[in-house]
Amino acid sequence: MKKKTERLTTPRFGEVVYTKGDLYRFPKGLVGLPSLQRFVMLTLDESGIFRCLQSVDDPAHAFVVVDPILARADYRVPIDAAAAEEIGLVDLADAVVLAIAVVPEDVTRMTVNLRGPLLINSRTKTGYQLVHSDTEYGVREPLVEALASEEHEIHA
Amino acid sequence: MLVLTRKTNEKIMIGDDIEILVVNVGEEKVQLGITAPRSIPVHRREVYDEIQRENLLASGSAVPSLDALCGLKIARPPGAPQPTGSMRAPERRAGKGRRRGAA
Repeated sequence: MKKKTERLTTPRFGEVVYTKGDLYRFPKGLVGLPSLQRFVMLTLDESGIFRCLQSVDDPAHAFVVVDPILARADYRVPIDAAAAEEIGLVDLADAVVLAIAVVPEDVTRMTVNLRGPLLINSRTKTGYQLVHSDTEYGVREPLVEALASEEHEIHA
Repeated sequence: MLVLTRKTNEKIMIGDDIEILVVNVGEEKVQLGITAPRSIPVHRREVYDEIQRENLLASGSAVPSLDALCGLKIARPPGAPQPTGSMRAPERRAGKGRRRGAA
């Protein structure tokens, strides 16, 4: 049976076609944006490093997300029971953690928020934004700095 | 705003299941113990504000062009999660069952 497709017109990506099964649900929305509860995950580059959570509830909202360990190789985030319960997370193997990026015009100055990561149950596609208070990680960790210096080493 | 005066070791109840205990009162700091159901998140206000601000900034920022992203040459670290959707330029389609295991 062919799945019914939905269409969404977005300012950044034009028309996005998705099925209900593609939707990521954040029952509590995001911090400060409680009405943004349904998203489609779009892959921005071929390697899939950069993805985008495009809001279905308000197409004007889209969030570039990356694996937080790109910014900090040692990144760890405690998953409290309440958060796990919120997204029906039983098996830690189903947990995916993503960091939201702020992308300025100069993309090399992109930063990621490691203090408010998204915890997603990949099995149910349900997510929750954690508020990670007691941490050394900041809300604006540079993403490209470390990578640029790595590149120097390669070319040296 | 309701303002209550409490001493060390005194409590405040909010509803039936939220309890705030004054643990210690220092010269410039107050230590509070908060007992609340797990479903009620408790945060320091400034951390919450900070994350909210970043969320708004992030949602308002432009999505970088494919060229700009490719120019970054970021190596995928081992163990990074697989992409969970798809958007193939130019047709801009999301989630066409490219995920492994998506029957």
